[in-house]
Amino acid sequence: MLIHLKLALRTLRQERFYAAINVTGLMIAFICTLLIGLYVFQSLTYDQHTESHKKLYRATIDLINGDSHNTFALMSDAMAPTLALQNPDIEGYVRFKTLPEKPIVSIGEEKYLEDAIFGSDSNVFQQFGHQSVYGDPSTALTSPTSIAISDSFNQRHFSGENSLGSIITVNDIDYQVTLVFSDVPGNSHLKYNLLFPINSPGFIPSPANPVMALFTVNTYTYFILPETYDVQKFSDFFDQFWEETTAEVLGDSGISSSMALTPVADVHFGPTVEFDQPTGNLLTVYAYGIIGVLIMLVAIVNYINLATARATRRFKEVAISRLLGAKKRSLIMQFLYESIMQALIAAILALIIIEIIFQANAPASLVNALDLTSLRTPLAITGILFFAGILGMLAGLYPASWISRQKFSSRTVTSGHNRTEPILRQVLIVFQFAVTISVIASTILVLSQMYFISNMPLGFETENRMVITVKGASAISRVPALKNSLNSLPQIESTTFTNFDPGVGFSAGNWRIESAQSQMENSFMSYQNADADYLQSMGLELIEGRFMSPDDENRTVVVNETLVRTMGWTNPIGKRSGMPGSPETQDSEIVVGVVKDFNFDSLEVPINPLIIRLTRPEYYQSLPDSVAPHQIARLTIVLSGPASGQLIQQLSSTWQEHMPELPFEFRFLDDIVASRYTSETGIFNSLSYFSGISVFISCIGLLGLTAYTTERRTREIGIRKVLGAHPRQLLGMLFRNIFVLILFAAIIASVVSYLSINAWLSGFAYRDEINLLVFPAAAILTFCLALLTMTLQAWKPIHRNPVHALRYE
Amino acid sequence: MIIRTKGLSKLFRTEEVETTALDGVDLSIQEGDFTSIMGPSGCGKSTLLHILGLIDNPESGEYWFMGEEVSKYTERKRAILRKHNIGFVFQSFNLIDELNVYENVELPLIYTKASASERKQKVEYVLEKMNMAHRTKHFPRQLSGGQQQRVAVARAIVNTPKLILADEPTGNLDSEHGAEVMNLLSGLNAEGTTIVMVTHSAEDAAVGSRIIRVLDGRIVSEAANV
Repeated sequence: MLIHLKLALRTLRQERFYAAINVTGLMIAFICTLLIGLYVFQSLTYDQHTESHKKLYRATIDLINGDSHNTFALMSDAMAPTLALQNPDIEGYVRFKTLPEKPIVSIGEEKYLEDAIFGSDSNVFQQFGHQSVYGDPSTALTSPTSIAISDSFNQRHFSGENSLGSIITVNDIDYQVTLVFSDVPGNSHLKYNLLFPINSPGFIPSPANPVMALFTVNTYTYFILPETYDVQKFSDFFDQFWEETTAEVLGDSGISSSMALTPVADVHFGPTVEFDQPTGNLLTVYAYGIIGVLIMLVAIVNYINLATARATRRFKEVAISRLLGAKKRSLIMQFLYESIMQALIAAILALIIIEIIFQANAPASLVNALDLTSLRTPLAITGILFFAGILGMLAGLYPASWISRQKFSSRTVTSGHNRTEPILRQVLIVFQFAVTISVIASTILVLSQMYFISNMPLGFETENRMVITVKGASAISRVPALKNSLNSLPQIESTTFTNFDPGVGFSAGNWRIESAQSQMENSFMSYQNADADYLQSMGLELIEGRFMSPDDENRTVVVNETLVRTMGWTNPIGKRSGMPGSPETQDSEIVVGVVKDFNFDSLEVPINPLIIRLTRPEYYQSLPDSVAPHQIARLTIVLSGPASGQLIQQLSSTWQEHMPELPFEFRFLDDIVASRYTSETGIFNSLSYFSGISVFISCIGLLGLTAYTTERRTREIGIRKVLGAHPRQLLGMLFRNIFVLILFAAIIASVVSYLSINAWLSGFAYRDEINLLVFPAAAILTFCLALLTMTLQAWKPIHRNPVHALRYE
Repeated sequence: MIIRTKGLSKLFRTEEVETTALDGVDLSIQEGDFTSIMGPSGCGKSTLLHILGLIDNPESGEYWFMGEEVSKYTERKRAILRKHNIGFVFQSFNLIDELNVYENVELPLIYTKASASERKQKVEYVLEKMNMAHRTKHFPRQLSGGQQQRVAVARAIVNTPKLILADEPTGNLDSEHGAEVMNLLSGLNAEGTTIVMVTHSAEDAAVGSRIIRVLDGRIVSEAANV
């Protein structure tokens, strides 16, 4: 045993070049596979960190109105208690009530906008598995002005000290900290830092009418039901409940509703619904998994190829050991020790490097999404090393058994040569080339899809647009004056006032709209509220009629092409629409123009009909006191170029003149748009790194392989030189051989990667065409890489005196 | 005079040691000679043969090959001289395993750009002469040592070189096959080809017309063999 280890170490030292190639390849592969494995594991175990998750079901509500059908993640906060009274199956519920907008949170002097804040029920800590850091979870949310904060929030704002009793102000209401709870795990679909009671004074009071109260849309609802509950039973119950409860209000309006339950563990990869938290894309997880397996496979094939190659070089050593009486078994062991040792060294280095990457706070977004604690346990580390050992053994088994199977004679000892190339080795070489080619091709195709998505024309401008939130009706009424001041600045091209984030923000609701047959119909519609400067400020394209004007006497609207198409209008101008139930607007909003379709929703869904309504800051003046402070709007400033520090200073002081009570907090529209895809783009970015790495590992393998193939033919080069071969003829001879293998590999690789990429792309609503030229390009790249290695390796024997090559054995 | 050297020296250097392989060798060989070079292992006889065969270059000294001073020639120029004028026979045959008998013999003709018909004619002729015509499709590993060496000789003479250099041609063969190869070589010599052969075997050396003994990189004796 000891002698084997010693011999193994000595061989590694002697063949430093190949050992370095092997260990580097394996190590990089381990790093990638471990990170990817962790990511896949965490993705597939979303929301499964508590025992009770099997009893938790997230509810979504459908609003059906004729042909239009929308599913919402949010529903009325009154829904859960109402249903719980009527359905004995419901053991309990947890609600997360949203504020209409990101609130201003202030702690001491500090003021900022917080989005991970909800009103919740007091059983949330128990049901979602939070430990208490400070305070008692069971009484934490009893007082309406109590607030519970997460551990990391406590670390950020109270330096991790006991902050119980501290005051946190949310939208001008003071709350007292009653609990510091353990953080929401990274793989939870709903993330929150601050929770206050659902009956907190921070919320707009629900309508007094209990039936009308069910129509609000503001709360994520989770029901506690028996494990493996029949969700269809719940849907049937709801249908009956809805019909009985709302018959009086809805009459024969054609509006109906249904409810669906999803086990909480399935929410993350569930269908995308309106107002949901970011969901995951299972395709991306699969893409990762495939890349991870490929990386490991490439590394193992690299290893097998190189180890077998090296073994042929060590033929003489093995032949002598055999002649001296070494047993087959001990020879096999010798080779296995070597490969296991290399795999272990690689795995240990990989763990160290991962730790360093995390300590160094690498910015790679995948790393940010990962929680390393599960890797740091002794069990995990032992498991990883064991796994590495097994892989090393698998990788070493083939070369070991191959070499010990060879027949030896005194002649092989003197010539040190046995030139038989087993067919399996040729297969491995072709496999290696095929993997390299398909990894290169798939990487290019995945990146091109990413590029395609990220550069999809949205249909509106996003660059150099600064978006500021204006809160409260009183502040909103001062927007016209602020706009005037801003428009007079030279670096400002225009400003526009909207209800939501410009371009991408929208609301949806029931609408009355004139049909092609001039009947007023109910329909479910998406809408944006904007002022007359919206068209110009967003760079939208008007294709018919005109845009809304501030001088319009009526409330005017503009619609998108899809709406015109959906309604079947031949002449859209003059059609009437309006929000039902409101005497001011019902049937009185007149269509004055049509804009070209733009992507106001996610790129994963097709463009829906959209109404853009004229809004004016003045509309906000007459609101009752109960709702006035909750009003939110946006002001978008279009800059003529990138914002300089000086300009921001200037804007800030202009802002402070008009809005002294509000912080000057701005975001850029391109960031807002990008953030809607952060989970995707971040993951994609790391995916491209990983594919890059797998290309790199393939290249390392290719390098070793071609270096070896050339080295093996050094003697032949010498013989041919003696016979008068020209260097050009010798290079040609080397290339021809590899060309055949690559051609073969290219065909296999093209078919396999075409099929898999095609399957992957079919998950996207907007997909790039597969450019077939990618496959020959990848093959040519691989070929060039092989040529380069070969030329470098063959240069010396080809140009030196032939006697050196002849002596080479 | 086909070969004339003056003060030919060669050093081998590794990181630790420097070995003198040849030390001021003066040698003349007439066209049509059969010269045997003898000496113990490591005396420099193979190095001398390699330099004479233009596959290695001397450290210093002069080397006149067919009236040209070639000691400072580049590998490219030497390759041209080599492929038209010199044939090699090695102890370990040095056939190319991936090529069959016919292809191995054909190689030198490809490098001298002979036409296809000329190649076919010459290859068939020399294989016939070496009594290997029935093995053209065989690969080296399918042949006995003696057969392999006969193929190697066929390859060496296919371009009808003026000079054949043989490095222990019988070293890997049994006595019967060895004698066969020696017969071939003396036959070629009788047809007018100059032969320089390195050997350990006194018996083989005796086939030549002249024996040169080398020790520690120097020629220690020269004797005509009559």
